[in-house]
Amino acid sequence: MNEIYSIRPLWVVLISLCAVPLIISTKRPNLRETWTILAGVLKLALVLSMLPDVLSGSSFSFNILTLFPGLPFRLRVDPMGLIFALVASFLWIVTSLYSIGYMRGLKEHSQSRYYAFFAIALSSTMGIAFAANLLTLYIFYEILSLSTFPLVTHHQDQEAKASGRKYLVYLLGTSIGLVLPSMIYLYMRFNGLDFRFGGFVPAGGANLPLNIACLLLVFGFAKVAIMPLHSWLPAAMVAPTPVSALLHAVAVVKAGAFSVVRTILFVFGEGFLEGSWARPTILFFASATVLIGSLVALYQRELKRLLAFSTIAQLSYIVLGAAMLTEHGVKGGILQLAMHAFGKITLFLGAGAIFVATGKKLVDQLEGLGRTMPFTFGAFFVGALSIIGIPPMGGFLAKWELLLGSCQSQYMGIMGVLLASSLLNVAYFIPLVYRAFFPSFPVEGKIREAPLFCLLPMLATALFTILLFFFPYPFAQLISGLWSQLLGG
Amino acid sequence: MSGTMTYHFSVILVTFGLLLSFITYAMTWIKRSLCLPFAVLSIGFLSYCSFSLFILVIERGPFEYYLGGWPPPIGIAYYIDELNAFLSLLVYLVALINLLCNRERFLEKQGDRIGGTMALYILFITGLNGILLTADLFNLYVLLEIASLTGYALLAIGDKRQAPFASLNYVFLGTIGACFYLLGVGYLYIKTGSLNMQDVSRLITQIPKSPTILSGFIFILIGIWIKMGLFPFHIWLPRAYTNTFGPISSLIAPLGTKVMAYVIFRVILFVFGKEFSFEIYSLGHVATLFGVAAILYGAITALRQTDLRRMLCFVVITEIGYIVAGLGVGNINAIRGSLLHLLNDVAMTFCLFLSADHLIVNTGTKIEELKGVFQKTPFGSSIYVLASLSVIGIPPSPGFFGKWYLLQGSLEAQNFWVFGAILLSSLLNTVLFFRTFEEGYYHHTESPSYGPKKTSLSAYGGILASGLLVVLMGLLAHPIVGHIVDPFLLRARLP
Amino acid sequence: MRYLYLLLVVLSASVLFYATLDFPQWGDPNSPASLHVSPVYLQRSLEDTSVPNVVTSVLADYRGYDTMFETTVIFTAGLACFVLLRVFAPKMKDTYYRHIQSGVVLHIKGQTTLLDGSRDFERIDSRWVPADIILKTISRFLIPFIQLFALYVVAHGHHSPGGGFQGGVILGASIILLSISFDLRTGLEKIHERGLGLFSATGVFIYTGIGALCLILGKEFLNYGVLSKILPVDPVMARSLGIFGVEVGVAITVMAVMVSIYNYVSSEGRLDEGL
Repeated sequence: MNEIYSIRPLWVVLISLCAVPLIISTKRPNLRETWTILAGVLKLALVLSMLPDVLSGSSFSFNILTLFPGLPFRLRVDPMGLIFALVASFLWIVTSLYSIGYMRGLKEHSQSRYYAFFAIALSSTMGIAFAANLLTLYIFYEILSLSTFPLVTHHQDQEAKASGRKYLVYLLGTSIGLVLPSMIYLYMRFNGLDFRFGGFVPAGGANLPLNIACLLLVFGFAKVAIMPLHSWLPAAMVAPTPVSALLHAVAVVKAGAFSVVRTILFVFGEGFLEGSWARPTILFFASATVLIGSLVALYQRELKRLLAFSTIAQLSYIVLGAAMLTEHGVKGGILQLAMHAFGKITLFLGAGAIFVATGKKLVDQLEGLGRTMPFTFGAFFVGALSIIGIPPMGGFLAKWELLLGSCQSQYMGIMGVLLASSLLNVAYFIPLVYRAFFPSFPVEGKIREAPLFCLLPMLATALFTILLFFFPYPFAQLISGLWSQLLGG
Repeated sequence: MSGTMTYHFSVILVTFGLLLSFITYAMTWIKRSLCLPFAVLSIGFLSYCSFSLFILVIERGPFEYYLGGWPPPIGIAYYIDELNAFLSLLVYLVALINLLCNRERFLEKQGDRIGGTMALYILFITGLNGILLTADLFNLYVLLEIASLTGYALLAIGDKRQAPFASLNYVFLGTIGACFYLLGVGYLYIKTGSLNMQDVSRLITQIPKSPTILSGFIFILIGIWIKMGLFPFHIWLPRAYTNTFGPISSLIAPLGTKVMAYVIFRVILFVFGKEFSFEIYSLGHVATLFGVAAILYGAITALRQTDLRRMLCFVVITEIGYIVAGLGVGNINAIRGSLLHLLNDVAMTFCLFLSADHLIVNTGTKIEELKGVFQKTPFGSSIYVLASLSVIGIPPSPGFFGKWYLLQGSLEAQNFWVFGAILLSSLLNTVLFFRTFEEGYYHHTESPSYGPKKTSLSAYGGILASGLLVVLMGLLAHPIVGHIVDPFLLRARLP
Repeated sequence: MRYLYLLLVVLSASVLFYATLDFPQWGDPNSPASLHVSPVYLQRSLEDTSVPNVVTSVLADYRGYDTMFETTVIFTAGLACFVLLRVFAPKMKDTYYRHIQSGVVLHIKGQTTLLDGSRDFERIDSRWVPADIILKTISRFLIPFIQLFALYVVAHGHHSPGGGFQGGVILGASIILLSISFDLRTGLEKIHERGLGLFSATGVFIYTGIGALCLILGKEFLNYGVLSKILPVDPVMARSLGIFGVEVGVAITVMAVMVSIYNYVSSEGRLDEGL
């Protein structure tokens, strides 16, 4: 395995930042959105350009600055980071296209600000994906929290204010109050925070401060929304739908999940966690989140809140997968990171399309809409199936690996949790879609299909959800590359 | 310029400051319209000198300068090292940016008295520079008087009627502080017969247990603590800084207290020494106590404020608490953190006060009057947000790095009081600043007539420059620690 | 609260008493303060600076740099009064003229310069009391002697107690005496605001300038010895002359600042009419 010293990762991070001044200074909407799309395409191209090398086992790295002795501000592209980067940068383009339709359709205010902060958020997401050590990750994590604040509170009304407060209290409170002390403790003990597959913390899990540090990190990355630190996510649903779609299905929550996976696999590692009591704690809370999240989703009347709780449950799958520490578990967790992104974004885009076309937000109001909006609901159905984990949708692969992983591990109970959750998913998704197509009472009204800009991205992601089942090649290859690193190293 | 000339920059920095301020004042009686441009040029020239001095020190290491050619302890000496040269550069940069940014406002407010005001302005920063560079305890006192007197006079200029009274209050307390310092120096002189810092330090190690020396130590510490506004000696600070003219607060708030904080380090590490302070007498506990109290008091009281600038004053008190708490922890990382925080705080507080002043001009002094200000002046507000985030300690802003070292140091020393207080105050500061952001950010209107007050390009430039200074301090944190703070600690034989 | 203050006072006092435990005996020739640098000053003052008065040589040469700042402190005090008190737009006050022969006073509404320069009328202040002929006459006699004495004190600082500060204060007092015994306007006629402002800056400028001159001549700041390059004397004598130069500077500043502070405070910054 060789390291390629290259500035390319930095460009991936910077390219959307470079677009920010252009977005702000451009007066004409068409040109402004062109910049966004252009930056997105360039970013994806740069990420893809690194794919062949990473697949062949190399990694890219770039030192930007030294922050503290032995602790550089450093980017490093490894298979796991690349998976996240691929997903996020691809879906950014999709969401940008969708945003154009959505924001113009609803004549939202301050669109320049919206696109600018979107671009900053994407930059920091890339930074999280490529961070080479915990501190670099933390820096981008904080920037992500702050740059998404104006997006969440885009409407600037009382409701947005309350949600914005919650958002910040949870995300900044945990990162300053939990992650920072833990990080400083680890740095003090090990004089460095560089990620290493298998962890830099030595084996032997009985050490009390280290166990606490591990828990502080896992819970401190509150973007992953493990209960009881989850309630910011439903609150953040006041944001415009594209924000919910990209950030609260892909970038932000996945950044949290990604950080937790990094913590489990690259900071503490198998050696330490095997015998620690931190691991059962994490598994317990994650399992509880899966079950409770799915249960609560059953009772939601608002479509976006339902999706939010579903997201909370699904995110903990990733944590479960990583914390199982078995080959299939880890693979499943990371696959879930990608597959859930495609499935959930389809669902959110669907919810947004319904809102743009009809102005309806509640689950009860969807009755019969499937007839008039077949494409929207078709895509929605595909997304729902993928989340439940039914072939031939991408979500199935992740669930399969996770189940295999739980068989391998000593915690067989997890398998029960996963299966129960799948049943619950069926319970809240299927009736919803069913009633949309087969209403219990005749539905009237002049409702038309959503605008094309909304429809196309949604169909594209739905298509990808299916395609990924048949061709999971890049992701699967990257994941097995990651695993072989562990065996090799 | 020849090598010896650059060596003289140390004294040129201070004495030419005096000369130029005299000329600025004299200009009042010759041609008044030239006062302001001349003051700007003077500070520009002094900043250049300061920069050259800094480069010189970085290249050749620290050196001494004997005034009047008399070697100490007979005469007075300057001692220039990386830390005080850098701090002096910061002082001049802040003064220059502040003046450029607020030129029109000074002219509008002071009118025909502009010459005198500018002379005071230059004298103030000159006094601070003298404090930074001197290696003589009594000379420090004299310069302290210059900086204080000019500070009192500047702070008494105010939009509100309370300003002169607040300043008078400061005069009383400041004089008590200065007297305590002088008394302490007098005691040291009685027992050692010398005023040069290095010489006194050498003589103190021979008689460490003397009650007179201890009393001198206590008086000097309390004197400086009053001057730097450490809780509970801070009572003059919020009133004096709140009621004064905006551009004056953005000059004095970042500089006055921080320079005195530097003096604390200088006196403790280089006059009394680490052994005397921390091992023979337990300064560590006392400083921890005061520091933690200041952090918590500042952070909590700030939450109660309704006036924006007054709120920021309590933030300053918190920051002073960080610096003293780090000193109290006393290990290398904590003191490193304190010093780094001190340097960063100059930039952060300056940017914060400058941009807050811009917001105040556009709206009002109360926090609730900030409604919709983000829409009104997006540029000024974004710099305000930048500075606030830095104070909170969001990476990679400078505030983060100082806090990191402080936290690391207190964790190493297992001083959980300081550790907890810093974390808690960061969280409280988050609440504090986001409260102001909320006021400014929500309540947007669609009316297009809602724009910023006419602000000149140079004012925008100044605000931008202060923001850039903050960003730079953050990005350069590691080199600053390596090349500026660490040599200082090494000479204090700290590790 | 009152008890807290009392406690603070008691606490400070006890520290002060505690400090004295270790004091050297009063006038002890073996105390540290008399053994370290003082002997050097006492022994070498004359040969280093050719100034017999050790106080002056320490003040203006060995620690001349401190004295420069002390002078600046005085300058700053004047400056602060100017910045805080001076009002350039005068309030419209009424004008009063007195007919010198008869003593009849004319009260004219508003400001006017109608009768300025007239031989028969003199301008007076609103709070004017009939001139005290004794006070005026005695002041007129005394002021030149006071001023002469002031110059003596300045010049003789090398040999006896005295110097720039003391001389400057006496000089300033003579002008304040003039303003008090006549009125502010008379004082301002002799030396007006502009002159005072320029003098106060010039005095400290002379001090700092001499220091800077030493710098330009290639030695340290305030190293008067190097002045022998431009003066026809040896370095030791040059030090003596340098000290004299700065003393003169100090005297000018102290005089000007004293008078201008009196002017600003007595007229509430309007410089129209005094007490």
